[in-house]
Amino acid sequence: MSGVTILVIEDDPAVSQAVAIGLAGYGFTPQVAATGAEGYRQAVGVPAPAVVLLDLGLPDEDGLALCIRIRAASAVPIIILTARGAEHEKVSALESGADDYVTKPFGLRELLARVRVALRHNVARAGPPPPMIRIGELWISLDHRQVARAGTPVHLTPTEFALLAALVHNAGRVCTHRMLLQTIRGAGYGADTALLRVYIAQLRAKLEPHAATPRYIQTEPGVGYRLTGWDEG
Amino acid sequence: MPHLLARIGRQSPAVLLLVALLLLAGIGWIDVVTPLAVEPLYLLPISLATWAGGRGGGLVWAGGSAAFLILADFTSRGYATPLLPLWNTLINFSMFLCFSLVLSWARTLTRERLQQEQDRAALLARTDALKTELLQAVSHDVRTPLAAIKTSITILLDTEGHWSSTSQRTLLEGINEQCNRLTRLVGQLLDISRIDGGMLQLERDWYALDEIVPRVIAQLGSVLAAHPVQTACAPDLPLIWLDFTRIEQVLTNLLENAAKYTPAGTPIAVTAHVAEEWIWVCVQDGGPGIPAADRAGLFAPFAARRVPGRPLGTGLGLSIVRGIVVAHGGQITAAPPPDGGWVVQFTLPLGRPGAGPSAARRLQASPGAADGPARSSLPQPQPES
Repeated sequence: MSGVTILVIEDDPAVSQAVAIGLAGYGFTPQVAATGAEGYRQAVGVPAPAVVLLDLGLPDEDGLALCIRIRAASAVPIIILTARGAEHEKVSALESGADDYVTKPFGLRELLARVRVALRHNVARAGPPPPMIRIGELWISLDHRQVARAGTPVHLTPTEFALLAALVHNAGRVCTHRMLLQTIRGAGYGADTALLRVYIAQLRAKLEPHAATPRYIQTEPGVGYRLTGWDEG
Repeated sequence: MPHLLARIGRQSPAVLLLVALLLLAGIGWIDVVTPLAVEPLYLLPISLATWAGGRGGGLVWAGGSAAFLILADFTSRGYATPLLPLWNTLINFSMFLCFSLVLSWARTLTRERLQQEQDRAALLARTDALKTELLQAVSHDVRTPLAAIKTSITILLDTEGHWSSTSQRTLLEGINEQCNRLTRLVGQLLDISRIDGGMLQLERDWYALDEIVPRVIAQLGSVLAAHPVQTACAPDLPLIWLDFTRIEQVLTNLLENAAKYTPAGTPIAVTAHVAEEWIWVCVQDGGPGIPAADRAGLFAPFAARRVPGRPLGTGLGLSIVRGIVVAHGGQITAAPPPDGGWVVQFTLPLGRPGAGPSAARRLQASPGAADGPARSSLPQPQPES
């Protein structure tokens, strides 16, 4: 990870300082910007950062607007830092091109996990997807549409498989309700979260060792779902 | 009955005048064609007309009604004596007078009650708005220091990363600073809720302002290090009946603001002088002033100004300052002075409330008098957190 530049756009010096020290301790090279204008300049500048951490409450610019501006100019992964905990804000940020979010106050491990997932997806975007994906005790072949749990094949309906494929493509990253619904039903089904809950419940029943305490498909309240367990494999 | 009156009162003036006209016609007809003595009934249309048309309408109606009455008397009964019509006219106008008095009294009462209800609703709305703002401010102002503390502590607890002892020291200092920030915030929230609830307790005594000012400047030390501070207190300042710690808080806050919002090297001046029954204290800086957009609601809670690269304040400081000054019976204003910069000035009343305005002058004339305060009655310095 040495030399990988992470841009921290955060107006509170106390937070940005701690984040910068934390990232530096793991060999990243942190860059700090205290305003939206400065942040945008560094985000799209040369050398480009590998990941952008963006605080939504900036002094000079709306965080969401900045997120859209950066996304329009660059494919750099954006992780939102939000102190407000408002779910609708997270959803709008994710739909405006952000890749993930961390809710303040956050621990170093949580932040590092998000940064690593973002970096991995940035690399994965370049090459072809691997033929077999292992997450915990799950083996998933997206090409052959086959799934096995602890060596036993699991039968999934086409919708369940589409849902799982969407989660696998974004493994470790949050997927919003709308994003998942559009994957399985096409555009126009963005609001029917009850339907999504039914499919997720079916998927959990087939894949999770204990459906009540899911290990792979985590609920992100008010936002969506996240496939975790990748790092353990 | 009040219910019925209220219902009548809600009718439009045109309807009331029409009813009055019909009543007048009906009573006139009875008066002219029957031998019944219905003169008192003429008074009912007058009351309705006064109600609908106000004093002017009522007066015109009373005159018209009196004329009608005289005409009716002459045409139907042929009274030649001038006394009776005059008597009737008198009755008409007296009735108008009585009714219009009663009406205006009733209307004032209603207006007062409405005003009270509006005041109460406004107070509730304000309290509600303050509560919402308080919650939002708390969620932002508490979470940001907490975020810094949490991240710092998880780094210090982490065993896999590599941090120099300098970095660890920086993190610990940061945690300490954020704890101070949270402590300050809690104090400010308590102050603002006390001020808003009118529960601010002042521990007042006689103090010399020209002793508080240098003390505050000395305490602020590092904050004001980058700014030359001039003080100019008039030599004949009387003692003031004030809460030492609170006025110290006011001056500390104003000086901190002046230092915070102006570039390094900007001079700051603190002046105090007496004018009429007040002592005027001004804190002036030579900075860029305050943008017009930020001036409105400068003293309102949570009106923090954003300064890039600096943690956003709670916006409670000036609001608390105003609360303290007002609790002392003074006033506070902020404006750009003609020679540039920004000035906040507040007044404190001379003398002691209830003791008469000349008390302070008398005390000043004889500071050693038996009932006078000693100029050296400063409290011991409070330990700063």
